[in-house]
Amino acid sequence: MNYNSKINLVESPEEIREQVRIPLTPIHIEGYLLYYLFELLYPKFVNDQQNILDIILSDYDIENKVLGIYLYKTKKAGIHESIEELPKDLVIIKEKDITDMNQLFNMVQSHIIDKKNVKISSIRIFTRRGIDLINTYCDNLEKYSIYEFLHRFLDLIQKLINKNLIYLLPEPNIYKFLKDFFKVLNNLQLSKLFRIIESFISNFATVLVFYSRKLNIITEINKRDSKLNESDISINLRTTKDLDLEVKQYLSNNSLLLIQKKLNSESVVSLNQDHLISFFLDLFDLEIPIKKENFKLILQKFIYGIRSFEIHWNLVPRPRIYNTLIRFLVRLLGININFKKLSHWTIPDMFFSLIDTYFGLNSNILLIIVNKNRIFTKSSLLLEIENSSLKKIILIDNSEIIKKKIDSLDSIRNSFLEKFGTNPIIVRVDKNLIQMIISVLIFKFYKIKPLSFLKVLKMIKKEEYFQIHPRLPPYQLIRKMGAISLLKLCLSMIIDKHEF
Amino acid sequence: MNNNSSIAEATQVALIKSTTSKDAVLEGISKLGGISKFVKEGDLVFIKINLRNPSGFPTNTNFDVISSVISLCTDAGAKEIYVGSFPDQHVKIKALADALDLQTLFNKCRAKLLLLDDEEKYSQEIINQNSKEFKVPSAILRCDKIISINQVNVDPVFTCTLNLLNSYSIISNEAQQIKKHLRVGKDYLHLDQYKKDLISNILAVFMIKKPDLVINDLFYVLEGAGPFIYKDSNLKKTGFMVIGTDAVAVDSITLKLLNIDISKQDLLMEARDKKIGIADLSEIKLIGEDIDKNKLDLNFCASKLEDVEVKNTDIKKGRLCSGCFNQAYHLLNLMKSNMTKDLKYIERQSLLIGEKPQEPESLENILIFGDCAINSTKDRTFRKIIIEKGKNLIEKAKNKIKKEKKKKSKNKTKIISNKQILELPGCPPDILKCISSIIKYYGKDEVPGLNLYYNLISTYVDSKKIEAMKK
Repeated sequence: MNYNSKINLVESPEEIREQVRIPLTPIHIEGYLLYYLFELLYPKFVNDQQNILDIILSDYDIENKVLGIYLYKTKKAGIHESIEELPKDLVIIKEKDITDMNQLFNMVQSHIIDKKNVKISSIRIFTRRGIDLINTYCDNLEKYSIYEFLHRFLDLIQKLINKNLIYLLPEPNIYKFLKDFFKVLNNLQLSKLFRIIESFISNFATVLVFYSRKLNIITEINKRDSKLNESDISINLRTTKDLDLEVKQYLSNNSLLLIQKKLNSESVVSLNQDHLISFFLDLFDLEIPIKKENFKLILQKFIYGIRSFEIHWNLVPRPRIYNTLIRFLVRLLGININFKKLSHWTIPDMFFSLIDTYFGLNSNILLIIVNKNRIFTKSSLLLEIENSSLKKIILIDNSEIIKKKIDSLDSIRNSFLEKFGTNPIIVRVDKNLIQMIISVLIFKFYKIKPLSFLKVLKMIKKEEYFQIHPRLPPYQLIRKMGAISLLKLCLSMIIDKHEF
Repeated sequence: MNNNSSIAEATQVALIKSTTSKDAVLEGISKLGGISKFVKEGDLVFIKINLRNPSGFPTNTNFDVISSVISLCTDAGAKEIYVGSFPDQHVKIKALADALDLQTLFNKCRAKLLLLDDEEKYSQEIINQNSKEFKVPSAILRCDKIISINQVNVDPVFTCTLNLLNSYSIISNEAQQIKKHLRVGKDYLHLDQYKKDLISNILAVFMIKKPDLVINDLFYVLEGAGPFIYKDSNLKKTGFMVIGTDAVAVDSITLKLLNIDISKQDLLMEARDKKIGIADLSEIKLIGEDIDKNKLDLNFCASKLEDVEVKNTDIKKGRLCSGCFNQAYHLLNLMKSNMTKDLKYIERQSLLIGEKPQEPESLENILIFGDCAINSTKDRTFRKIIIEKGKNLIEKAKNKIKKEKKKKSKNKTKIISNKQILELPGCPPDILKCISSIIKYYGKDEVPGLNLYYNLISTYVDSKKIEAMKK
């Protein structure tokens, strides 16, 4: 807030060099960068109007639950410059008022107009328990590693929203999205999911450049395995000014190579800020459970983004798969790999058509992750699908369905049937296969070669890495066909035929 | 034939609404007097289910409902419980059971899946019914009690898949096919003789072994496009189950629940006329929910083929019977579901169906579907194209260089047969053969989606048939 109040006093705010901490994180960045992030993201994702009111509510009182009221007058949405504590009896909120949030918002808004002559556009309501939870979370926050912070942060958000310890009025789409998403997650903690996903990611050191006309943000992300149970992750956010770099074209390879050299990273990815924001806005706009048609649309947008390499995003070192000569030589063998011609309009359609037809419009899919025939995670995930929409993700304790080692999937299915009374489709995936796919398609994408796909397909064909029970037709096809024929068959669907 | 139920009992139908399909079926049977009323100790029970192809729910009967009924029969002291059905054309039960792992699944529930198409294991008896012969597996005929569990989905010919239709698949799919039988003085197409013959066969097969307990599962209903899962399909949760002892009565209540006029349902009207069951709603004693307060609004199958709306495809129709309509409906839905990408490459195709179809708008990619369409378009103009005969380009270039005036030459033309025509014969045509022919006609590279679909079905379709088609 101190920093924000100085901004308006100077001509070029970016000149004010002051390190600040991103709220609720241990990450320190330049004050101006934080100012810019709030100016950019808050209006788009939370509220684009001025003046915010914070209300702290008691968990026990019934007649008047208000413990404190704080008014933030803002000139720009999201930029908090001053705070004013208002008398707590200025607004009276009773237990019954909380049942209708829209009415509550209107009531508080008219009270504040009457008494302070300020029109508030957003109210953040925290319960006392919520404040206590945030305070506990913030204790020693700066001492936490990034890994630990991410875990705790995800837990905090999930608890605050799930237990109704925080309300945002009017409800922004991101809040609604998260609230409904946590309902789908059911008993599954987001931090557990993060731990599982994180364990599949091999070491990497990459730089993400988020470019825009106004300010370019350079984010260094490194992940290294450590001897402890957790990974060593570091995140460093900077502007180009911090690096003394004069880069004008963030899509050009030379510019990105310059950044790569300067920061000594494995790879540099440049992404357009506006495109990313637009994608996430569309994503948070979705109603959960996401309807099939809406999901198809968002997938189409995502795949369209991927195919726009060197148009909307770039990567150095340039992946060899984009090399025309290599593509030509591979095509002589009948394999057409052209990521710039990813069939963004077909892939989601094909994916859902296969799932609908062979898994069914209603299905229970039990996902078991193994590591060389041994259970990799303590729990498996049960995906409950109803009318092609993911309704629930349920965490199933492996000890309830698997005895010691992974025996036949048939016996797991029988145990599941006995215990839960429904017949699931079991998908058993080896950790190494997931690691390979994530590495090939995301973190080591710059190393991708035509042969990488064959390697992945060969792994998928082996029962030790991938198995579906019962042996549905798509799985039988994978097992029956040769890797090259299968690759050609898949590519004919996922890559557009015409080059121009 | 088993006529052991009295008429008073036969007309009782339970209409149940519940939160789970298991609860609904248990409550329904209990309201009808409990399972012991239908299954006695030591009985051999055959549970007739829908087993169409190795697709997910709701193409086949819901496993939760089957397992509940099996467990009730076990409790009632049934000696053996068999489960089975004949699947779709070209699909072997063994391949289907392997793909869905049905054998171990039913074994686990102490029931046995009958591989009815394995004639070495399961002999078939020839039964004469209505002066027609039907080969029915002896294993079914030997059973003391038949329970028919039918998943209700929308259907292009019968509006929805009724229980009477489920009973039809106690005979093999080949035996279910209707052969064109022309009658003197009767117009086959105008009278829709195909449908009449089909209804007659369905009812004849039904009479061979009438079910003792009939369950129409509407807990989830496939609407939009069905009874298989297509792009336009949508699963609607209704929570209803209709259970009774008389299949005709159960189907009548099902239709009423779906707000369908029973008098327009040829199958039920024929069943009523032949006194096979009770179709008159006033004679049915309804237990459970009030049907007048619970009407379901479903989105039924397209009644016109043009309404399937397949990209870049013109549909030109002539007079057609229900057989061709049904097969063309499925072919169009398969195209719509699996040829999204292909139809962008193809740009334009015409599908000519029925007798004397309209002229196609383009001379490219004309698919003529069915014998009626093929035979009635033999002399049509689209079968021939006129091309200008070999112009001498060198001569033309010389003239241009010499700046000679254009000589008025007569345009020589030649009439050749249009090679962009694909005939899909059959009365009605076989869908698998159609797909195979379409892939051959366009080439695998032009139809990657259909090729993928063909590869997928070749994992469970009779390999001999696939080989024969390749040849």
